Amino acid sequence: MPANTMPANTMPANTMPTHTMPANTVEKVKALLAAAQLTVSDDELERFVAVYPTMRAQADSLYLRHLKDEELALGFDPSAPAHDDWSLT
Amino acid sequence: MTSDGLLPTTIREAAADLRAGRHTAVGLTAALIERTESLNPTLGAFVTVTAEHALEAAVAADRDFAAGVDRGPLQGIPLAVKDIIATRDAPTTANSRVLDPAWGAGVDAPVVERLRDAGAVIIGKATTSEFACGLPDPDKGFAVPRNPWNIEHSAGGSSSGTGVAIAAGLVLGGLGTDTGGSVRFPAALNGHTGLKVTFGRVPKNGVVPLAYTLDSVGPMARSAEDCALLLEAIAGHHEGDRYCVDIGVPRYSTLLTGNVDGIRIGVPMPYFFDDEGLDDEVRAAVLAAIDVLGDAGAAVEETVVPHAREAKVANTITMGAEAFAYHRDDLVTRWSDYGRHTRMTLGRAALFSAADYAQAQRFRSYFMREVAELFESYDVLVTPAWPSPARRIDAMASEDMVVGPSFSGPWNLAGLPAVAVPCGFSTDGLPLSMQIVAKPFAEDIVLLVADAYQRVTDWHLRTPPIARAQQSSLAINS
Repeated sequence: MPANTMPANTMPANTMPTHTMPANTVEKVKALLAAAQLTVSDDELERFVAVYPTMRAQADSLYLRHLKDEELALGFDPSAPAHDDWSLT
Repeated sequence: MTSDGLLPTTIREAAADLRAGRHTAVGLTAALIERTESLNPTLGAFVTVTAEHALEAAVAADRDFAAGVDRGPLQGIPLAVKDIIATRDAPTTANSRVLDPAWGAGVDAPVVERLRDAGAVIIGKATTSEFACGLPDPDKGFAVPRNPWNIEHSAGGSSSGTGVAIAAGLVLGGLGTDTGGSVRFPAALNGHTGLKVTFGRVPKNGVVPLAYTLDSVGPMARSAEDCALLLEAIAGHHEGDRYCVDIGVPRYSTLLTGNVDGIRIGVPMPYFFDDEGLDDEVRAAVLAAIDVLGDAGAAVEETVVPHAREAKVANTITMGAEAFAYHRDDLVTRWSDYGRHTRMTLGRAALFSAADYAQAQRFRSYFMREVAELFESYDVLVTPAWPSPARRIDAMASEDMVVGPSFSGPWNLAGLPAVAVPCGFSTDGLPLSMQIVAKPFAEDIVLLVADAYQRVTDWHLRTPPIARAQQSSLAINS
């Protein structure tokens, strides 16, 4: 028989098991999930905790110094050429 | 290039056969439905097969041919539609227990309506990752889509079923949606062509949303030329989609000259070719494909996409936040009704902050401007479409999307057109794929380069053994 999807309690590489996490990381994730009103299993909590430091570091990487004066891209309109010489086909 | 069996393998070939009287639409449709009934239990390509309605559409197509009515190259062509796109003759499930069964009932999304107006035959609703995100969960009652080149391996996602159906020869093309790579991912893993269109090129109303400022509906087929034929039918303004742009639709297929002489190709080496998550065989195959284009006259030069790694992150945050907004109430009250991977994927967005979403949009402004400058120097960028060949299904986890690279997501963030094109096979016999990216609304350019490559290679026409076995046992009763 073909294999099914990965068991729910299998961790991918590059994430950290919960017992190696600082206690405040676990508490942060619990607080964030609670604020979102999400009720998750212990196994799922462990998976969220394991990946949280990576996610937080990735999000922090967007706070680039040279974006200080950048506006949001809300009102995103890719039809508007970013340069005058961009001709639409 | 020629097909390798009794049934046509491309839309262009089938269209010629239908007009030459070598096949009828009914014969072609019946043969593909028979093949689907045989292979779908193994491959999980379709949620629903609408055989009766498909045959009715085929009868109508044949009647039109007989009456001298020609609606274009899609007339009588069997296609698949991803099961997050509304069709009037079948329920839309989004492969989920959560979606209201009444969602989209009895109506066609504009893209489906346009396909039907062009005379296409919709064979059924193709399997999707639940709500176009996450990985399959067999415990929720939906089939797990399987790669026809090796059924132990992933078919990619989220437009999995359309990709499987094309690769296995169950249909000649179809529709997927792409928010972070969901047309290109299955195209890459199943070994065919898939086009992510410019945001706003194709109407997306009538489609279950994933991320409002990233979603796009795109054509999937064996060849770039077939994608062009599909795009001609589905592109263009629709008042029901506030993001859909009101500009003309070129006859893309007539612009495929096969000539890349003088086309400027940028090859962004950092991240796209040196990330540790990139498989060596993918890297070698894509670089070899670039050499083919260079030999054909394109001017190839190494370049850099600034902050590409961060662009993947910004796309992930944007997608997660917008999807979470759509799903929040159901995640709160029906957490366990979502598939186990889907709820983890959606739930992770709760770990970002509101400021992170705003910052992702500020980054998007910056990234779009930087990429625009890049396209002053290059007509297209070429990268790997996906970092690896299809992985074993039992080795995948939803967290892979967090820790691994994405060569597709940055282009969703910038709203650009990008096509995945087969460019080889791994030593394990799994498809490899390159990605061709261009400036907004330059679908003609990405398709031209892809088509030029496909005129001198045949990777896109290879069929998996499971399909060849079926092909030899079928004959069209025209």
